[in-house]
Amino acid sequence: MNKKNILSQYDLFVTIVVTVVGSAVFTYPRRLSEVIGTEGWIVIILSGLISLPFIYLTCKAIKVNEYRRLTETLERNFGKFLGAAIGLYIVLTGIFIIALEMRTFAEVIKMYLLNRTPTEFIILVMFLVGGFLVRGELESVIKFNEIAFWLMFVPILLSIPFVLKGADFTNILPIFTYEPLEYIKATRVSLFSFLGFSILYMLIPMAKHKKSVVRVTFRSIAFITGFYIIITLSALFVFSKEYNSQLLWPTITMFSTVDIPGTFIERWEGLVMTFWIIFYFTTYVNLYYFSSEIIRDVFHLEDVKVSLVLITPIIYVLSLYPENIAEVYSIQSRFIPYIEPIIIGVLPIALLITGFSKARRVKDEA
Amino acid sequence: MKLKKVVVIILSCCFLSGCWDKVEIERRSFISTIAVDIGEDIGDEEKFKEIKSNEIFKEEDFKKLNVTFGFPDISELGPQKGSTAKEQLVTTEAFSMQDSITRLAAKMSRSIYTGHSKLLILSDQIMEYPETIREVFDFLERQPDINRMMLVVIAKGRAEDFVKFQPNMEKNIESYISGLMENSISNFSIIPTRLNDVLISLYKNRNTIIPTIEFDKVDKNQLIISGVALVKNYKLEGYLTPSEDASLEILRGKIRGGKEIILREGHPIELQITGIKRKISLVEDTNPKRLKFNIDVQLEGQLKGYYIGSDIFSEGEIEKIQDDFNDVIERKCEKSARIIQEQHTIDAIGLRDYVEKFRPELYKRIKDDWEEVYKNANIDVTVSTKARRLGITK
Repeated sequence: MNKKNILSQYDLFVTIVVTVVGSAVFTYPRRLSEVIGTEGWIVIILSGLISLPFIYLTCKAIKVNEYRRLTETLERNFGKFLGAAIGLYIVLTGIFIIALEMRTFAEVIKMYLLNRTPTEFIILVMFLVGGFLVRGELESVIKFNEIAFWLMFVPILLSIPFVLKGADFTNILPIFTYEPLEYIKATRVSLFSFLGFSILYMLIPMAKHKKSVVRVTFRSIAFITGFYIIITLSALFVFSKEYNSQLLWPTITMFSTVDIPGTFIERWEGLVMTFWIIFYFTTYVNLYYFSSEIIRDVFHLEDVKVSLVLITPIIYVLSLYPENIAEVYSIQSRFIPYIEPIIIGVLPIALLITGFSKARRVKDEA
Repeated sequence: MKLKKVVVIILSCCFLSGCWDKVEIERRSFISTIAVDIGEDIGDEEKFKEIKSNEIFKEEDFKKLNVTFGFPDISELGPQKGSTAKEQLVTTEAFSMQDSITRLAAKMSRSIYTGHSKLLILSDQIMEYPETIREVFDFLERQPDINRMMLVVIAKGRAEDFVKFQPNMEKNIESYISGLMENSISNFSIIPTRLNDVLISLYKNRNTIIPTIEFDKVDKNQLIISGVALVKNYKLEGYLTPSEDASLEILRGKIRGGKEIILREGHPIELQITGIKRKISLVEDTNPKRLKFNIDVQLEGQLKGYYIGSDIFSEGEIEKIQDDFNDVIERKCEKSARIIQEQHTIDAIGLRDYVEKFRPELYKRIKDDWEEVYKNANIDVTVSTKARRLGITK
């Protein structure tokens, strides 16, 4: 609890990136093609731009509150009860995201790799692995992120050129054919892939160089946006918008169409499954740790190990609640556009206002 | 204490490893060829529509499909024995594709894996049943472990006979056809079609082009690639001969090989095509009912045959030959374009795609009656051939 200022700029960057880029990247091309056809990349840029001011506000809000830990700030600014409630709300959001993605994760693994292994078991194993890492507290999670970052992005970006062999690059056309309003609507859908910025509340107070926080965060958003554009465009090039919106996970299918002459490496599903696992796992572990840390502080528990025990059953039940993958996605699209903006949009403003008034009062008293 | 930890780790290795999905590789059979024929009850398609979805339906009484699976005899494979093996066949009569897999499983002692399938043969008869073919394609694309890069061909005749066919050069049809197709990249005009391409193009344009195979009419022991089949709205629409297809592939800008021939003073001059650039442009769009497209094709190739005693290096000789080729190829292409446009009304060249991508405004106006617009459109082809290489004699 007394560990402060342990995150270097690099740590901050990779942690934001690996948390936000989750397994949503595998569905992203489809979601975009469904609503906006060929112009997904414009929407991605829009979403990136929209998230910038909010992220900036979040950074400022944390700064105004003198880089206190999230739960401390909440308690100080909103009082004990309301503060705890907001803390729990953030935890619930995190749990919600983890749980639904956990289900998707397990379903895909079950379909491609482990046909007969029960879903429950796959989820259980994920808890064991995730729990093991989270028990090592923040340092191990961050260290894991550092390694995972390279494991995630280097191989996937290296394999893109192979995928693009024989792809039709004119699939990106036509551009600018939609009404402006439709882009905004699509941006709402696109927000699914920009989840998890709430982790900033945990990271920024720990950063070593407080001055560069905003710059590093912006850089990570730029990276995420760029990565999404690359993935979305290559799926579009390979499949065209009509077929893209048909596939549940275009990114996975895209890699399975790699065809190198001489059949030297065929069928890259195995490779894609490793991407799938690691992309989900990083999001999951970071939010898992974040949630259990808030729980620990809200209930004044001794250790994250105890709070793990509290939240894991909830995630487990939630993730098994939907009947099938279609329900998972319909639940997601029903709730996520409303819950996440509160944390990243409304909360920072509230924190800013209350933080300012607190600061003034302290000054007045002095 | 340390011992306890080690014991826990060892035990967890035993208990937590993938017991459910354990399949020994020698207990697996890898399907390499899937051949789909019609079953005896396919004519009852209409009857099935009358059955309500909540009624009991005895699927085992209806044999809608006749699916043959070919899988290599693994015992023939090995470091010394070579990389292809004779295929073993199992034919199943089933109601649907999944049903046929289930029936196959009942006939086999090994677990089935479709991830390495290489060839899908559809009989020409099944292509007459669009409803059924949609079921077949849906099954294939829904499978996570299907090889989307497998070749698709349409067989003229029963697909089963083709799987049984034993080629002279190869041990099984799958490697024979994939060999033919891969070879074709350099010296034959028919382009291998993969399941992935078929699916994408069916979604995009509701039509596709699939190569056809048939037995040679004279020598029944010869199997040839006989052209392409045009599929429109999941239904077989017609066939093109290899030379018509060659021109079509030129129009699509996809040709990788193929040759053209002209006669000059009674002597054949052949040009092997090695490269292509194609550009579509819409030259007149004032009246949507009479669009005028121009397809500009640039071909590069190598001269193959001339005749001894003439001098190809003489002034203007190559230009003359090139001009002749331009005329011939142009005429051929326009003929092909007219066939697909007027006889079949299949937009195989991708004109709709072009209008949608490059003229979105116009496309919005005409997309609802594209078929009509396409039928009345005027397609003009200009070819410019360049003989880049002339061989090693003068």
